[in-house]
Amino acid sequence: MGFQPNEGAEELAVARRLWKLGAMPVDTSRLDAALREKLPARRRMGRRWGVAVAGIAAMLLIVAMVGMGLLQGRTVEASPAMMAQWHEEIVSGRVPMMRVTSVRELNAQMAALAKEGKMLPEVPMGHSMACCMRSVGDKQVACVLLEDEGKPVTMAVADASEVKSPASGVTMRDGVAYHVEKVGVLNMVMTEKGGRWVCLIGEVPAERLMGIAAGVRF
Amino acid sequence: MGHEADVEKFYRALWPHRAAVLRTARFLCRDVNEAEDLAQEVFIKAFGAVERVSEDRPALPWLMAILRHLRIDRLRAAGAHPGVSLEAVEVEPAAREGPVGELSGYSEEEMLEALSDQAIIDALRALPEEIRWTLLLVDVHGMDHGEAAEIEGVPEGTIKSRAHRGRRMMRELLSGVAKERVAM
Repeated sequence: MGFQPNEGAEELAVARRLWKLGAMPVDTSRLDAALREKLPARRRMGRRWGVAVAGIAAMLLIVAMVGMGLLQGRTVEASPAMMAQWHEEIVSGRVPMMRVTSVRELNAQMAALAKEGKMLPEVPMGHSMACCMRSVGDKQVACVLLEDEGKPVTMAVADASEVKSPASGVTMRDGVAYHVEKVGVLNMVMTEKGGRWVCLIGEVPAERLMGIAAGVRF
Repeated sequence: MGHEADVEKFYRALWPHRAAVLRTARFLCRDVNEAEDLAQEVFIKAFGAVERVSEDRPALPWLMAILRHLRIDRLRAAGAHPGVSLEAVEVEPAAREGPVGELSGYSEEEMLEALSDQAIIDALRALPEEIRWTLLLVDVHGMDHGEAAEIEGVPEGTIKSRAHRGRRMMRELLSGVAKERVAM
């Protein structure tokens, strides 16, 4: 918020309440459709996304089946395509998000939604946070929308005993294993920290995402 | 830069902001179709000028500047006056009404939290256009005073003054809503 520290508490309360409006869900589907009619398609990436999106429906179905029946209570492997889909849904406003002004408030909101208590970390960025809770079958995943140099980054956090990264594509950095993926224009890194599975997604270089993940403190 | 590179740049730098632009248009327009139409025009205009986008800088302020210009054009075409002089806004609501939260024993923040988003949006829409813009940029989008000043084409001091007045006006408007709630 562009609020000055010397301004009154009552004004600050109004500013905080207005800040939360910034995460009010809006349905962009009609806007998207109208723009796609009038603007050229993203040729190269569009094809990639076409492939990715085509795979996402099947992947979601598989994951849902995994969560609901076949592997109930067991560890679920995170799907890069599904995480990319979540990021797209969150960024485009199709998922209701709660905007928060501090990590403390973020944790309070998430604790109210989650089965368990606090699960979100201190994030090395101090602004523009909104959160929601999503699930893969019976596994809960907390999602936080952050902003990194003006670009949206989704951070997903789950219990590491419930959600795992795929075993392949592992990169070591400062002794920490990161699973690195690319889905269309999105880069994605997954890692484990403090008993949590953490995934960061955005149109941000993977190196930078690893840097953000390294700064996460539980 | 070639056409394909421009298209790619548009989808990479601007496309992710369509929810923010549409949301802001919804805060400006009462009619959903009008808001969607306005947001659509923003992106079509932005696409036509995508070569001016620097990916080293956040794109949202640039999109907000386009949105604001288009909104002013529409208001002018409709015969409305988009601006407002600060002298015209002589509201000292806090002194008259008292904090929103005083009405019920709850804190200001608690009472504001209890109000629906729609109540806040309605209050926002009741503000003069330029003051509403300042609150949208500074409080809703979290821009600093300098960025907001650049978008609105006024000095930073004017933004500070508008933000201060806008919040106080919001308090007055929301006090009314809270009073109605308490009376019910």
